[in-house]
Amino acid sequence: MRNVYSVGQINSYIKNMFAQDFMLKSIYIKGEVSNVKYHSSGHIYFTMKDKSGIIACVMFSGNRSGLKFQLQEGQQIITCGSIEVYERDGKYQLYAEEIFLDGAGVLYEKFEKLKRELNDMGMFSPEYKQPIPRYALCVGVVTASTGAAIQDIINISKRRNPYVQLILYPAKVQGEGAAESIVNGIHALETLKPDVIIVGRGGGSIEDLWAFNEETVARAIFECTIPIVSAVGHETDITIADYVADLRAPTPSAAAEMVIFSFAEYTERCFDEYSRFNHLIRSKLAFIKARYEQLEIRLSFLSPLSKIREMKMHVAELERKIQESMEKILLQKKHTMQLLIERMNGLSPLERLKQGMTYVTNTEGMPIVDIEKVEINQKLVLQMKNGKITAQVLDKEKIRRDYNE
Amino acid sequence: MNKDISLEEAFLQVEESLKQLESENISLEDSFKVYHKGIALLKTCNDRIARVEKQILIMNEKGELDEF
Repeated sequence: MRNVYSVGQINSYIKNMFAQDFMLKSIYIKGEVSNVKYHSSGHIYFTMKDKSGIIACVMFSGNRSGLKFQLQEGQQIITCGSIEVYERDGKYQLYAEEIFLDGAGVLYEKFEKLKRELNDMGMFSPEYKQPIPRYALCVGVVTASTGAAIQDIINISKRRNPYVQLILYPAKVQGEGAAESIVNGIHALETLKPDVIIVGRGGGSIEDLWAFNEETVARAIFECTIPIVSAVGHETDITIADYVADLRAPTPSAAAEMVIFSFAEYTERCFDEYSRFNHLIRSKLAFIKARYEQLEIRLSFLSPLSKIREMKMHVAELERKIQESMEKILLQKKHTMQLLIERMNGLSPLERLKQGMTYVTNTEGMPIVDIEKVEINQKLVLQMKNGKITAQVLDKEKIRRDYNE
Repeated sequence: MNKDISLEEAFLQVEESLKQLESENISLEDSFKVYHKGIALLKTCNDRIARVEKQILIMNEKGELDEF
């Protein structure tokens, strides 16, 4: 007797087989969408089909972030997920985690091809990049008039510098004719000669952004004589327009921050420069004044007045020296005289008289020094210290005295 | 001074004037000239920004500009 299994056992067995299959745990399947049902719970039920058959699919609400567009009948999609068995119904289905529109792959290839071509032509070369003016007073914008991009740009412009003129060219940025509309926008704004043009749009799928990957748009950006800032999608979206633009901004908001100069910073710079000028001219003047004063002092040293003053001082000095020398000489002479007086005094007869000597004259006052000239009884006058005596010679005797004469 | 000069250029000239003023060799007469030129440039910069809040303009199909 063969083994008999219950339905549940079989379904469980098959579920287990699926679960053990590594490939079915994470698989990419492409096909056409049909029977889409957005359930109120947030889950999406749909089937995928191709010529040979169909497969039931479900995307749970928890995985909805893996779907970036509205799922619609007839779309070609690629779904990534796992295939598992639903035991209750005895059916297997695809539990979708991420769903992409197919064709993205084709677009990606087109993108890479155009990028290569334009790069080979040198259209991305840095030498063709025009500098973005630091102080743009008029900014052209090519984007949708209804999108978030223009609102972001307006808000940032108002905050940073409300005195900058924005000119919007309302372009169609996605779908049929978008590329042409963007090209027209660039050309139209170019005639108004703004300082810089922002070309872009907000985020979206690769299809939404596709116009910015068209060659006509790339050429219009490349040939534009006004510097162009590209601002397409989010930070991670990079388009051909970004490569060819003079500057790539990651988002429209970032483009506005880059292009619209802050009025506050600008006035601050003006003020700084103004202060520097005043400071420089002041220090220049101070320097020149100091030099002038220095020269003035030097000049006054060299003036004839100071020469005269100097000569006067010199004369006074000489005068003083002469005076001094004269005084010195006089003093010396006085000394000498004093000495002579002393010597004279030593030789004076009066001095002799003082020492007790007498001085003999005749009555006529003629000095008598020779005994031979004296006669007995002759009257002689004897001069002495404090008077004179008249005497008469009683006797005389000649004495020989030794004089060294 | 040329009114068409861009703000960048004006600032470049301002910097140039400052450099001249900083130089040791400049005569007093020239330094006054340079000073007046610099101040005039800064004034022009200021005048270039008409302090009127701008309405954003939008281009219509005929290429004319309307208020947004």
